[in-house]
Amino acid sequence: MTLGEVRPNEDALIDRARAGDRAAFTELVRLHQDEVFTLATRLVGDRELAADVSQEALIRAWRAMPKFRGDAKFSTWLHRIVVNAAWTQRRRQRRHTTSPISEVYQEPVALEAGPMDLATVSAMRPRLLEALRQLSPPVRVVVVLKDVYDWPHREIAEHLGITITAAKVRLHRGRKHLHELLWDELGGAD
Amino acid sequence: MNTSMNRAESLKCKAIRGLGPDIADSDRLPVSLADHGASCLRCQAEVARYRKLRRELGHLAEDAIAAPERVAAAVELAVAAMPQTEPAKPTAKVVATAAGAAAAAASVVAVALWRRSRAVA
Repeated sequence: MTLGEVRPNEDALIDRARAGDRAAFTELVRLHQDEVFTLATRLVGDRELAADVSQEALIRAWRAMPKFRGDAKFSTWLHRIVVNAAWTQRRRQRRHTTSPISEVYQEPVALEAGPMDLATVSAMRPRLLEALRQLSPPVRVVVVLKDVYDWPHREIAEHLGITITAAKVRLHRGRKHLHELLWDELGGAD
Repeated sequence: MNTSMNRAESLKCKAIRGLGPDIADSDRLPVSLADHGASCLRCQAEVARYRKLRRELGHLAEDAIAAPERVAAAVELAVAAMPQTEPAKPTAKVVATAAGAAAAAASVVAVALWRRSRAVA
């Protein structure tokens, strides 16, 4: 199931969950947990943290279900909650850790590719993921949201509490850094 | 003459390098740099690298990493332990539709009563 894909019966499940049906919400969790976890992993760069962020995001989603009005797709709405949860998690990490945040976010993450993924994974994928993890968290979040999930700058800025210009500057820096890190994989010498 | 031309061209190379990360968003170079971009192999390579990077990042959206089992289990437990969420309130659209339907029904009844009273008279 690819990200953002609408599943059969999802609308019915959403209606029931909005009305307080826990079983329906559990079913929605089952359907969306992988995409939530994937986004969380891309944002925080660490499996354990990503699992915590996913849990928190899904619990927040349950609390907010009555407010879901269907203006955006359910998966888009869920993605926004994941971004907020990841940001909260980052703030907590900064408060409670004595090690530099860059170290906390640079632990290796194994790429778990399913059979379908393996067919499409390019040769540079592992290096790309490693390079992404080397970006500073504020820069990585913007690169992931813009270049991977295609969020508009305005929405990125709103969610991160920064200006649109700051979001663009971070994206510029992030791409430039990735370009340097992946020089050989991208084609190398001029 | 040649020196000043070379200098101008190298400034354009610099400009394209400066724009590099932003060029990935567009299929075209700015008009002022398009001619240079079309003839400079170094700049073409630069632009191609950024576009490739953008494409590769975009492909990451197709990935799905399996969530650890503990995620769904913990969410299920937490949701079960939480008090029932307040059921969704009807949206403004639903309220407006219901009000419209009630008004229409009331007019039908009013017209029917008026006709009956005239028939009796």
